[in-house]
Amino acid sequence: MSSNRKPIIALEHVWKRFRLGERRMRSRKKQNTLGGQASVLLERAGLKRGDGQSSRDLWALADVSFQVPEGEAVGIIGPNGSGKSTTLKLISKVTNPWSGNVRSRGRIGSLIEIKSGIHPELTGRENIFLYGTILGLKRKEIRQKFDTIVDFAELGRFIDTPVKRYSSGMEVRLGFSVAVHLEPDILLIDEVLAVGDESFQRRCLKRMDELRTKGQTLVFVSHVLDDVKRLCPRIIYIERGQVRADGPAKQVIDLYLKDVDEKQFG
Amino acid sequence: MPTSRPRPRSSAKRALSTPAGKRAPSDGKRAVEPFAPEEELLGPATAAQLAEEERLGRRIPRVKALTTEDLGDLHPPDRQRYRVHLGAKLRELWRARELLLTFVERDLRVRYKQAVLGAFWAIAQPLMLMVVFSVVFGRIARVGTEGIEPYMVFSYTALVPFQLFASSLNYGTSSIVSNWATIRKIYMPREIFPLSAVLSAGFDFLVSSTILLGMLLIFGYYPRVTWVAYPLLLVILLMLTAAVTLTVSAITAYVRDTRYGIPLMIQVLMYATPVAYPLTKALDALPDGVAQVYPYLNPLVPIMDGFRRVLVGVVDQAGHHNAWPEWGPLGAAAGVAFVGLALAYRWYKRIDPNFADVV
Repeated sequence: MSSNRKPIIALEHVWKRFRLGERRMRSRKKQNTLGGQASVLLERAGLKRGDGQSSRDLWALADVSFQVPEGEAVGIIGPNGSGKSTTLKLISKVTNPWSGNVRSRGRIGSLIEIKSGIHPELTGRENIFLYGTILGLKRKEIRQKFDTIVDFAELGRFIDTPVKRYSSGMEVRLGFSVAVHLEPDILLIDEVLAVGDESFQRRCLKRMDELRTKGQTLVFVSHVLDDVKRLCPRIIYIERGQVRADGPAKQVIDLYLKDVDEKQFG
Repeated sequence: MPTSRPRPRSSAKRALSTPAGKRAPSDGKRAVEPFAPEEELLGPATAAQLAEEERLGRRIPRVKALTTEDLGDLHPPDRQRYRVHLGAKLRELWRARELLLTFVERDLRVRYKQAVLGAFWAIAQPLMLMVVFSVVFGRIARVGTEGIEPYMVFSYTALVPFQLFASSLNYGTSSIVSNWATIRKIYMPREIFPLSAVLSAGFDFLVSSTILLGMLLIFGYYPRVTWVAYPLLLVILLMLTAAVTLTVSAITAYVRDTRYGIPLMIQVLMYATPVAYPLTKALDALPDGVAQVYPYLNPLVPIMDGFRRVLVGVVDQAGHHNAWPEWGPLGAAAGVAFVGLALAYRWYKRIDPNFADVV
């Protein structure tokens, strides 16, 4: 492990704003007049400049910076609502930051939520090709890995059944299996292990372990601190939109546990 | 502390977000009692979070969201303005061409998969309209065909391309909304969704076109030199269609009015464009000043009229002969289509990073 590896992910002073639901976000006048509503819509469509920040604006991330060198496995922990998932969405470019820079290189495979990229009307087979193409793979590359994916997901004869007839466990197995076998340059995983049975979870962790030793860049969000510690030598602890700690797994987890005891979040 | 007035919120959502029951009042007042502002800031737990809590057998700590006041000395920066590098965006789209085709294939599969008649539905709409028009306009109202017989051929030559425009819009309007699950999780050039709607309507168009070709041959309209203008007309129509579809799909991401407005607009356009009647009839019927500008106002007019002219020709005092499109209005339509597409695409790329946050 050399220290001068180039960063594959870099966040520089990243801010992300979001708003409480639409009804709550504007003054009553704006909600109730046609002109007010129109101006809100124009702002949201990027055709009109907004009137600055109001007190109802919430910051999912406030001035977050960190880098991930190529081939590193990084865990992200923190209480719910802290901005962990938002961080992953920014890395995968699903959404843009309010301010700041998010840079990454290469293909990004994300398992940000259950059922990522899976279309219920299509069969398991069609979905594997669809997701593979989303990741930017050629059909031939997908075909090469097809059998491994199906075996890992334990789908067997259900591979030609529309996914809408799958159990939720099968669906997650399919999504996970595709993501960890198509070997993107960066793999983002967010709490997906929550669904699926114990044995599948164990196999997932094993597979992620394999990927990590093979030099796969991995960003792993989970509340199962043992899993995070096992997979990721480095952990970033995010609390209320800010990086509270970033360092060796054990230290950061100890701090987090201390915080949970003392601060009584939630 | 947040200072806003508490506002009521659905009790069902609240119940879900208090897994341990710690914060849920047990006196049954939940439905009427507004939630405390700090509760509001927590937001409901997601299904994944709840599942995780259940699996772990413990509550996962949650924190309040950070408001601007909470930031204290830290001042939030101004919003970053994003520049749209059109060239870079187009290159990105080009690299994603295989993905685009995969989405077209997916759209087609999904659309016709559980339908017994399958791809028949791809051609049903222009065919049925042709039958209805033949009865209503050909037999009852007798709008005339300017010598192009039978009326079936006359109307179908314009109905097929019009339907390309109409179904692109129909499929495209909700394309962002119905793919939202994918959009908010996985990154890809988002113009793929409306564009795949246009291309999958293009598939329907191809099927209908073969039927049109058969009809032309059966009724003795053999290939003529003007058919070479057909691809040109198609390109202009596709540009115009893509421009409108991109715009409408992006608007639908913000407001749903398009779902009602667009089908209405399509119906109006169908009668405002010479599909069921000959252009000359319309020009005769309109007041003098209006008749001159009409082909310039609605870009679909010279396009649809052009399709008919190049495919079957015209009949006038000189008899039945070849005809080229009316170049003046068609040129204007081509300009509108090209500039419209460039502007629509630029605007679309400017706002599409927000889709994941707004839909």
